[in-house]
Amino acid sequence: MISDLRGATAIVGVGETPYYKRGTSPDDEQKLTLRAIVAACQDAGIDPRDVDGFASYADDANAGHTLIRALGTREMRWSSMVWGGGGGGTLGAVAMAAAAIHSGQAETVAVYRTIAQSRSGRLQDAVAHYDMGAHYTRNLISSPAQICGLRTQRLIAQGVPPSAFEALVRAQYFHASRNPRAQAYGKPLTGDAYRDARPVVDPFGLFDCSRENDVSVAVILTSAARARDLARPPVYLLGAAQGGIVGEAWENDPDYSSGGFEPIAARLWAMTGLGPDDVDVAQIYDNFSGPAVAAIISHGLCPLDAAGAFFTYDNLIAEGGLLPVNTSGGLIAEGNAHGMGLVAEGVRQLRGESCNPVAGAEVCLVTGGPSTPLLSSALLGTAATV
Amino acid sequence: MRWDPVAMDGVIHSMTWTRHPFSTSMVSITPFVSVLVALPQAGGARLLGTLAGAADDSAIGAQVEGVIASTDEGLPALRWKLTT
Repeated sequence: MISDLRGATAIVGVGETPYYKRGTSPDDEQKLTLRAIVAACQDAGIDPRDVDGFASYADDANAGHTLIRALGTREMRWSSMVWGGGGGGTLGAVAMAAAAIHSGQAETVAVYRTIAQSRSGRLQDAVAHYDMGAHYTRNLISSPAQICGLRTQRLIAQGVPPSAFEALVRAQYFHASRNPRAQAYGKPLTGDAYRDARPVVDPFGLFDCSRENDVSVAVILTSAARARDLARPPVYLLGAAQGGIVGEAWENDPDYSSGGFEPIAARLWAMTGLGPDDVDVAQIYDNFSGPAVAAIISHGLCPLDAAGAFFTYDNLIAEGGLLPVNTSGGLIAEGNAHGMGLVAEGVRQLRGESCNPVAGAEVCLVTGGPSTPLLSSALLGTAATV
Repeated sequence: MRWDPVAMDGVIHSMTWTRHPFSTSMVSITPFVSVLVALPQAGGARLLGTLAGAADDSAIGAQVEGVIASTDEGLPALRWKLTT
């Protein structure tokens, strides 16, 4: 059944700080957050004092009530957090903002994520601390890279060739090479350089791994009715779902190779009336290359047994690709805002403002956090889709 | 509901070479093989661990047997060895 939320809210503003190398931000987390929210308000053409709601995820340290004095907020009506330590909550936070607006509890909500090493430490440690207890660390598993490596080795055993990961990473570096915000701006990646990279955890080399940055990214959501009166073309939230893969215990979910999005994708299609064939472009959470490939497969965008033919460089780039993926460069090549950069790029793509525009793109899939008990996805659409 | 002891005979469900030392306790032992081991006699329940001893023949599907080792902090930890 099509959800009432379909097209009821829209993203009307995007703002971000530069992607600073981790540990090098000139500002603390709160100031980074304020910069991003104010920039998003300027983009939307709204007064920052009119933001009346705040939503984030991954235990972000910058709660709404710590921001309102600096923003001059007239009335804070909503402030909420999606639990969890990883990027799986990204689209859950967007959905929470939409729920607040649709139910009349807020009108204009900022969704944001801020990371600065000076405040929150290394991102990889924060994620590991949340999801990887003593039965991991005492067995010498202390990085998400190791768990993602184990899952990806299983994906390879299921028939997905390593060429899929190389194709995705090189497509992302191509996109980033043309994106002035990206860490890899001006730096496309050759196949030889990819394969010669320092090994990290099999099958991942250095370029299969996301970066860590000091950064804040914010978007502003409001009602569809208000969105139409604002400065920018509204990008509508068509649907969003959160949940995750469940097993009897951690690392015991039934299909260890899966990205785990099957139930979320099913709900996403049902609530929007859309299907995998309607997705024109995708921004896929890419902590590592393998889980991103698994996420695409588990959304039904590519059958597992066709992955070798599907995941090619030509299919994944914005210019003529069958499914352009991570058109900003993603966490791997643009920079790591823990997933919010993917939301920002989804909006830019549907406004026609991406550095790597996909001709005629109307529907964009955005995902957060593969292969964990907390995942989320959303479909964004242009005015033509509502 | 009760706990039943089972033999520590398992099958490698997945494995990977950890080549970067993510913590100080890994520095002297990288590269090493991290494993997820399934126990058929426990309904296929899976346990994380590290492969000890010869690892060159490790692969998904290989048979392993477990031992309880001790970490530097004296905590029990799972180490697995290939059986031939």
